Amino acid sequence: MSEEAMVVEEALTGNVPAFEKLVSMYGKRIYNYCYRMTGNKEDAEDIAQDVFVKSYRSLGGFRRNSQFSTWLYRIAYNACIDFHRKKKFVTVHALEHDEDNRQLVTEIASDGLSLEEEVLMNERKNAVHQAIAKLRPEYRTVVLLRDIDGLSYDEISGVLNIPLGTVKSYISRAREELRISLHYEFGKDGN
Amino acid sequence: METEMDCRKWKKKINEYIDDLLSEDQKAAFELHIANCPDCSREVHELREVVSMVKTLSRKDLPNDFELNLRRAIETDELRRNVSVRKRIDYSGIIKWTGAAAAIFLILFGVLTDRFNLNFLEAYPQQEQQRILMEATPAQEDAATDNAQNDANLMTPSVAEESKPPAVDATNGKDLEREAHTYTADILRIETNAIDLKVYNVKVTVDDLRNIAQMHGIEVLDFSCQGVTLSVEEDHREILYRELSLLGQIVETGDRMGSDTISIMILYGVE
Repeated sequence: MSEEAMVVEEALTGNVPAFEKLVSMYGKRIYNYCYRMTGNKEDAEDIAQDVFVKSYRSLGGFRRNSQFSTWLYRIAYNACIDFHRKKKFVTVHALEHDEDNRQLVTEIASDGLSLEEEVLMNERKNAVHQAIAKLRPEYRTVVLLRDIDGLSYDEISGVLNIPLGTVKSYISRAREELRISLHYEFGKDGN
Repeated sequence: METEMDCRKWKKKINEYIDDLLSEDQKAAFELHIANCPDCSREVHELREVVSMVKTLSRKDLPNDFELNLRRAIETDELRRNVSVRKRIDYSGIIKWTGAAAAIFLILFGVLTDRFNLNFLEAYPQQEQQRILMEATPAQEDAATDNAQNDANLMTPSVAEESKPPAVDATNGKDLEREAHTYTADILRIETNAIDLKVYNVKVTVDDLRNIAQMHGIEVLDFSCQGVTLSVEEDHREILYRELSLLGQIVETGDRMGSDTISIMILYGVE
């Protein structure tokens, strides 16, 4: 049994430290998924908190025939979809500029990039962030789960509870929309 | 010479190719195609660039106080529910029926052709509802059956015809199963016989049901502390059933697939 599976088993018995370990294992992934789904950190934090409260509360509902991470993503996906539906009737949500923290910029600089290259790279990342934010939530989710979190098509099918064929078509359409909206960025990194 | 048709066929496979999901044979054939098709070749190149651009997005660190805030949120939630995780009852396996002291979560999945059915229950205070649902005496059953008949008469003839109570076979199985079955039979009558799906063994809240509905683009017509009423198109119904089957143990499904208004009620068995 993998370490992950053992921690999950312990948490399922109501072991609080084990659950906290799960939070430290998956917290960052879930938070970042929520960040890319909502477009801002404040909402992402609220939703990610909610995801873990809900998962703690409903640990008994976790079926071992799926991975724990898939189950968590599913709760997160539902929470983000719910957030979007509620938001639609309240305000237009605030999309943050996707800025990397200073430290990372310094690291990039030390990798031998000029200041100009740094700025260009950050602009490019921001363009991608904005383009992803424009996708409809289902498409956004498949792109995030596949290309950032590295889930398999099967796992994505489990998260969204849709057939594999639908996953394939979502991925195609999502990437096609990104291809169109990021067209002007092609070739800028020297590829 | 490959035709335009071939090209369209291959275009559908581009993302599987990029994600390295094609078999060796398919991959070789695909590569042969793009070697001769500048259009597909360019598309592969651009989509690869899209994927690599998405991959450059870095993960943000968790906010500093994330875990502390989470612990507080969980404590608050537990207090509110007055449930310790150690005391959580395991409902897995067969329903434990202990007479009137049953700990059962039951979802009634009824198709309503009008709202009268829900209102019928809502007219009673909640405790009274529990009593009606759980302890229906023969006299009450008769009354409920009468109500059911009346309801049925209000409906269109075809629906009324469908509303005959399903025959409940309470003669086989263990005592425990029979009791549970009898228990639901009482509810069947109160609910105008229009039960489509029963799920036992469920831990679910009204919010969860709303989330499930919203996640699949199913319109929530109404909700209360006891359940939700949904407008379900035909292709959504199967998805909904599948979702509900993940929540618990489906013990009965109906064949009434035509109606597009569905009410799901959560009935909490009380100790």
